[in-house]
Amino acid sequence: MLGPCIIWLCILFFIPIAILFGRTFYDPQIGLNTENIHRILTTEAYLAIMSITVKIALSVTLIVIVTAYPIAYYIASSEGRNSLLTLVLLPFWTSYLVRIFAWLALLGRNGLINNLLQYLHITDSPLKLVYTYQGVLIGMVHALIPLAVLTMYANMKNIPQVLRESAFTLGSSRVQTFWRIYFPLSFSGVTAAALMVFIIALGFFTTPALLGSAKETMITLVVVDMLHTSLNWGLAGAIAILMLFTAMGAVYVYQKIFGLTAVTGFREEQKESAINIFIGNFARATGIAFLRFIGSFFDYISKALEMVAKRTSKMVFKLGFTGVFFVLITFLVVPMFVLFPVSISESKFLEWPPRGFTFHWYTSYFGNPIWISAIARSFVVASITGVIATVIGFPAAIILVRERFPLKNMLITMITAPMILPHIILAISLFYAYSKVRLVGTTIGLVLGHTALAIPFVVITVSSVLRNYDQQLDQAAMILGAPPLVVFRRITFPLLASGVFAGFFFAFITSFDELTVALFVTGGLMSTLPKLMWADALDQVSPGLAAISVVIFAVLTIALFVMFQMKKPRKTV
Amino acid sequence: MKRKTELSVLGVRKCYGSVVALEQIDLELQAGEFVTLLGPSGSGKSTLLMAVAGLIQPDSGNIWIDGKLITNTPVHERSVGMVFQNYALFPHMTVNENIGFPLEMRKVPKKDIALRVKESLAMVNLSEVGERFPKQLSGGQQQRIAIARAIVYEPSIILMDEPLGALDRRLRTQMQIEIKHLHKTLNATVLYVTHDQEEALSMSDRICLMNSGHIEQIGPADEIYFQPKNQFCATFLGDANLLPGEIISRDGLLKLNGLDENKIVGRINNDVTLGTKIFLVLRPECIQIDPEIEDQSLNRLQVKVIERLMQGSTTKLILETKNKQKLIAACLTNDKLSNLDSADITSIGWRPSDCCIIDRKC
Repeated sequence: MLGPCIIWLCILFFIPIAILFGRTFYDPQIGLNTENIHRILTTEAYLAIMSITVKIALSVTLIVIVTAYPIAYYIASSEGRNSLLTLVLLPFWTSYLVRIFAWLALLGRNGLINNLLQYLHITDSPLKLVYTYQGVLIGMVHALIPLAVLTMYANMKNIPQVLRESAFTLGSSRVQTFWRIYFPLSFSGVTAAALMVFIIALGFFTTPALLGSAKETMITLVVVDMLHTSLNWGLAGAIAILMLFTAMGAVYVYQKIFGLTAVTGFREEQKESAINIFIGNFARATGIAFLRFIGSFFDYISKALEMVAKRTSKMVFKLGFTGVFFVLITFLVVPMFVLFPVSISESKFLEWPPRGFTFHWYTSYFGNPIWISAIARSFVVASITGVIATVIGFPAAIILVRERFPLKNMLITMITAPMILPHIILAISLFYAYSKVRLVGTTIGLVLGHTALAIPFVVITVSSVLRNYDQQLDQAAMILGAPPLVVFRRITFPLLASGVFAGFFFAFITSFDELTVALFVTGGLMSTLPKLMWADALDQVSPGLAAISVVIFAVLTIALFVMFQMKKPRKTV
Repeated sequence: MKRKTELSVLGVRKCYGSVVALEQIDLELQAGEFVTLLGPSGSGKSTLLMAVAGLIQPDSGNIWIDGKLITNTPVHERSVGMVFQNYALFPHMTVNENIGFPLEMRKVPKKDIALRVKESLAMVNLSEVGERFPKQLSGGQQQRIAIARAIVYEPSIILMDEPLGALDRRLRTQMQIEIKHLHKTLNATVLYVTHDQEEALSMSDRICLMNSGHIEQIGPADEIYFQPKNQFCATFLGDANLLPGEIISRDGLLKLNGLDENKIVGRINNDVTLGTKIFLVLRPECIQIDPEIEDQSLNRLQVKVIERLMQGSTTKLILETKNKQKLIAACLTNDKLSNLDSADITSIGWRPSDCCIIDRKC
């Protein structure tokens, strides 16, 4: 049951990367060749770009964590969870290129924010918000908050409400309770989110390219250019390997200190070595001391405030908190809704307010066979990827959740790898490997690559549903006379269906929205939608792209809505 | 009339690593019996039930159901019914579909399924909920549906794993009566697991007392209560006073440790050795307070009253012997008792036939 999963990932993920590794470090004529790595590590230009990449990734991570935490906290402790979650995840469901275009419409010289500020006479001339460092940060933060919120929420909802209540009865103030009880318990979700956001941010290139200036070029773009213009495998491979080691290093250190449970969802069986225990105790002692300090500090401040104005301070606190939350939600959701008006404007640029009223962008783009074929191809590739990834990932998840066997931890890390590591590494590894077997530019090649990326999503989604499954139901079915296959077909699968469909949907979205791998593995006239949008955007971002974005957004939302309706149980008499 | 043996367990053993969950279990159930596996947590009662169901494979030993050897038969081919503590009703099927499921598996024609499901529902008095989903029913209703599902296909044995554990007290008592009633109506063979003594005592034909993976004693409630085989059995079921002593004559004369009353008589087997260390097991309700002097047949002791607890119709007395051993006596409340206060000295007595002798291991 695990076999196909492991084989697939080996063939399509680990082996190509290993091959690239070899190509970077080994030259048939010279033997071990460290020249590429050496050049990368010593050339100033590259070092500058790498340092800016890490700098941006770290800043983004920090901002994302700080903003996502209150959102996740609010959702986890409120009643209308599901609808709020959907709201937050809405940007998630839209193509990230779409989101970048939305920000361009908002932040541009003629964009909504500038027009609003000038209209309100807060500024006289347009602020430079796009093509700046700040623009890049805004775009990346916006793109990554949903992921952080989801990770932290998944962790927070398992913190029993009763713990806070008992802390209150024991005499702890709200502030103290938060810092000494709630925060430590939510911490593993925070660190997991931070790790994933950081690594994914490292691999970003579209956002900085479209929203930033030349100074904000991130390392992945360098790789892309390198291979598109000069086919310099050695250097490109060297950069990719460097990124790989950085990411792996981060994961390794993380795993040693925190364990990967919060990331993968799987309980780890830790062997406690002396060093681990020492680090663990030290970290714990430091952490507790720190929290005591912070707790007392904020408690002191809040008590002081209360003494000054008791009732107002309480109200201010509550309002402030809710207010912050709604501001953040607006930040997440508004960009989507800017796109529609922009898409029906007559102007050639993304500007606000939109001039005129026309649907010609829709007709010209959707009437264009190249676009139609790209959309169709994306859809087909995504569907096939979704199916294969689900078929492979589902049995793998079952084994991983229900059985115990040696090397399980390693296997779980292996299977999660494609999700955690930057796509660019796989993209160029596959490009190189495919070029040897003539798979470049084929739909099959793309499907194979995308499936490798999608499998971890399916495994993690299905296993989280599986973990909550009551195995006594299977046992009862067996006792009632159902042979194993019938048990699976009539009982297990129907009850797991929602998890399986969620996994399929994740796989589908991952493939449909994927740019990096598609950029390298497709070629010539054969193109996917993201690739076409990217190429078009590099040229000039026109309202036509906004039109496409609106349609994709609408289709996905309708699909989601339909899915939710179908899931509702039949009405009873 | 000899009843047939419905269930036969012989030499079944199960270990988990170094932990012995079941140690050479031998057990037989006759058709129509209601046998309860009773014991503390970890005694192996659930493990034994699971082994009979087929959800656990024994390491050694054999199991026969209705004369057929089924030790290696897969779960779905055994003819057992099982009721779980958490009901295990399929949430995505209606009540009718849940109950009809085992009949579907046995390829019963559709018309017959509908009929038999209706009958089953009627037997648990829930005829009107057929089209509902489990989550729309209360805990007690769900448990009755689980029972209906387990009996609809008339299995040879019905297994119940602490089925009333998740219900509140009043519902539990009610369900105990219903289950007993069903048992009589269907003349079913039931193997029931519980840790609740009262439940076991009120429902079973025989009780199988288990401890640390083996059977301590098996027999009707009266037998275990009045003739426990060892210390565990004496103390697990109800309250018991254990007085240490030794056998000094073959007629049944005993010497109790630290007390120099003579003429304490108990029932002993013929083949005991003199000097054997024993416990005298005395049930609280067998103790008479200040009995008539003339009654020579009673065993007597002088005791001091420590505390008197009037609990309504019964009064509990905590007493102390000359060498500071504590005894508990339970009597029907009356005037004589009401006059007893702490530190009063009184005598107690009991009939030799009302006490029991068990080995004392030091």
